Amino acid sequence: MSRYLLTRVGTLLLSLVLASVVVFAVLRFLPGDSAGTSLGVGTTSDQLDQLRADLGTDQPLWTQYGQWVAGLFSGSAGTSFVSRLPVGELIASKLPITLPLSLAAFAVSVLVSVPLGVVAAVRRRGVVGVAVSAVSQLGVAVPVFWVGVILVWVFALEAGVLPPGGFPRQGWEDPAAAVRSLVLPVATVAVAMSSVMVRYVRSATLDVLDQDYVRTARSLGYGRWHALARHGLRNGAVPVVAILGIELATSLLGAVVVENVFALPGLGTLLVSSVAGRDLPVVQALVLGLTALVLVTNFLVDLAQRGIDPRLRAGSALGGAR
Amino acid sequence: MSIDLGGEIPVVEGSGRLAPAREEGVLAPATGDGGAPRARRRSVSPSFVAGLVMVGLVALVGVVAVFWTPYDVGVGAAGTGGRLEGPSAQFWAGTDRLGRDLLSQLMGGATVAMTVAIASVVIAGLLGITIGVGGAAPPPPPDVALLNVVDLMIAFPTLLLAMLIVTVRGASLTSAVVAIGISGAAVIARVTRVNAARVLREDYVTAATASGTGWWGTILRHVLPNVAPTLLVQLMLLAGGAILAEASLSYLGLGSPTALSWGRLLSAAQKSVAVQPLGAILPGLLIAWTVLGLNLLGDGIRERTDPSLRGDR
Amino acid sequence: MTVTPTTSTTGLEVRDLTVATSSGRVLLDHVSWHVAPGERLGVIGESGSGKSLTAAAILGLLPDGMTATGQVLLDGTDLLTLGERALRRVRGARIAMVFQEPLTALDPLMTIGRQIAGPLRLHRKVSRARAAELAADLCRLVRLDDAERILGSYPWQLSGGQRQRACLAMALACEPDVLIADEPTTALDVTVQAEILDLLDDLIERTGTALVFVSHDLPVVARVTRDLVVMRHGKVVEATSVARALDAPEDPYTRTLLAAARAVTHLPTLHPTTQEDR
Repeated sequence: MSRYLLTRVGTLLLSLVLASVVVFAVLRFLPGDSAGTSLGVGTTSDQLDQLRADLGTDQPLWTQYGQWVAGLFSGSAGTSFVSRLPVGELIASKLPITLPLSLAAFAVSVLVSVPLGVVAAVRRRGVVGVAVSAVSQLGVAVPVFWVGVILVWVFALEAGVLPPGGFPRQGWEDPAAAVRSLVLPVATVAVAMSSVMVRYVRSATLDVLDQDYVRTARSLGYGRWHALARHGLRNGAVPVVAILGIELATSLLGAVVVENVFALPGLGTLLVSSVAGRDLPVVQALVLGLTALVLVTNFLVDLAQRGIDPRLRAGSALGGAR
Repeated sequence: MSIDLGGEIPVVEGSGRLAPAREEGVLAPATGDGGAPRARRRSVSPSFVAGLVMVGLVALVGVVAVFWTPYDVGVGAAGTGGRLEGPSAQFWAGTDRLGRDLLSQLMGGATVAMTVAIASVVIAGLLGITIGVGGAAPPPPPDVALLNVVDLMIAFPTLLLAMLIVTVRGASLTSAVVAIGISGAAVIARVTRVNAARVLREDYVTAATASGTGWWGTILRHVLPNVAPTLLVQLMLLAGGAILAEASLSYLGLGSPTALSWGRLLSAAQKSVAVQPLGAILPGLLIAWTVLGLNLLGDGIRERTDPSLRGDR
Repeated sequence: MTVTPTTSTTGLEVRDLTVATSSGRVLLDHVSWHVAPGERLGVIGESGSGKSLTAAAILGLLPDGMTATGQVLLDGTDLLTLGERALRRVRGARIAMVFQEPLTALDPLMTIGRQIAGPLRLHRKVSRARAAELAADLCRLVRLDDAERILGSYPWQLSGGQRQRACLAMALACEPDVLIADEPTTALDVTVQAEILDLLDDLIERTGTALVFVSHDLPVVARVTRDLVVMRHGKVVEATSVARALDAPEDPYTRTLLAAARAVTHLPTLHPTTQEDR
């Protein structure tokens, strides 16, 4: 186990380094000069040189990469081209919106999709089963921003019960208003995520239901639900945990898009405006941060799966023999 | 998947399960003969037919729109009607805030969606299959390295890669398609590699190699035909994902500023949703229609080629 | 449990058991046989002949969309008329089953000990500690040595024979009246097969449980049972004894089966492995 942990941590660190190199390289080597474009037309070459010196883009690449990584560890992660604020500070100021949004959306979709997926599997030919299949199939095809726009139209513009977008100026000092402004965004991300998750939960449950050991349990006198609870929780958890991991990361990306629908000043709007304004330091820090989050989540998912499935701990040779 | 993420194929290594492998299509009829020999043969699945019809219609409109739309909606076209009109005999879907015909713009959106889907799939397919087959080649060391890179690419969300590329190259259809294609290539590479490795372990391949078939001969004659159905399914899902991802980028204002992407149309119509709801509703419905069609097509191909799915469950 | 007063047979009797799909296709056609308490019956037929479906119908575990008609009488009570709740008290407690593939029949993520203890906790409502003791006893009953280690193991850590013994222990945990063994040795190596058959023979002898032994393999059936039912295409084509089947098979299909078995194994003309005194 400890040896596994060591190699797995090693892989994670390697992936993180690799990701940082990729992000750095994509932004430096692709044709196009971000420094130039960020100042816009009519810039004198003196101004450009000054900007490059400010940003360190006149230094050799290795130095630049080193400075960037050092900056990441010191927490400042460079200075924004546009706002001239330290990137770390900029990102930290957006977290109070993005984190609650994505975590709440994640929680809601787990609470919705796990029971729904299990019921849809057990009653696969019943009304619930067919309805869940149909709705989720539609749900994965619908763009998340469209769901947002429709929710705004119905609940904010027509019914007028919730704000159509924005975030209270006082932020969380006005908790009621803050929560109200997050209801529709959370619902939007949750709808999209639940559609995906319910399909995985349903298919994992169907998988368990089809297993011989469930038949054995039934032949021993366990009821349908009792057998599922006895065997499904662990067996179904292995694939579902993988999905939850992916979806936790997805919820952040969902937040990126949905924040823009609702004009919430979070990481997503920051990212989009930085991309549009070619604010390189902000983009690379955000992209690396989100990627690191995905990688760390994958790492935790692996550990969780090993915790659940003793076959994974015993080594793949035995695990393959099913 | 509406929040696009490079590759959601959670291969749970330990149990050897591909999580959502056994989704039956919604349209598949619930027949009652479980386990018994099939009484009647269903040669074409309903999902396949439905998907084909849905995607075919969009493709047809996309082609027509290249040559003809009811009104000119090209770059710089002036409005021919009043602002934000509702549907009428003249403008079937109403007009946008500049008085331009919505139907014509939506038709143009079909062209963009089909272009994005095809271009992304071609890039992902060519790149991914090459990498995947290469990864299954005999000398193992590069395989390990390659797999790590591919895994990293899969973990790297499409939308983020696209944003990186847009940051440097600027917002354009090419930027979007390249990003989506590269992300998709990682998924295709992985699927190809896993399946190619499986086929290469089969006895008949060993027999073929023993009787003197070369590496490329084996790949062409045994591996690719065996992997093709799985890949086709993946590519269909990828096409749907590509349309969603491009729409997301365009919606965020990071797509092509001129192409009539449904995502951009929706973004433009968002502010006036209370006045002319169709402008916001229709682009979303069309995206959903097309993506659903592609997903159904993928399900249909899977049902046809995977015998274990043919029975009802 | 309501007692249907149609008959007073003891043991397990299947009468005109017919199973059809929702679309009306008949999969089992008026199957009838009887096994008295403590007796043994072999059900033999090729795959798809309806052997396993019969077992599923007896326990009320048919796949969705299939319906059973006729009678399944356990000591005179028609199981087909019982509700799900009452059936659950029959399954595992009065009729238990052992399946073909012991690896998949056991939950890979649960220890053998917990799995064997399951039916005891379910039907006998014994404490966790008591269930563990009983599970260890059951291990000894099915000749699983080193019970402590086995009970703490996961199925994939055991050999095929050990797994099937564990399945037997689980099935016999609540001392059922009838044990249905559905191809219990088919997935095992030949030597292990012989061990399991001997064990089964011995267990039936000692516990007084009636045995319904389902198999496609005549020599295997001949080793444990005397009475025989031959099935084909969902029908019973011949009810006979192993001795008669070997000496003078009546039905042409039984003859084919016999010829096939003779072609691959050295099948005796009489039945030396079955007990003559029974």
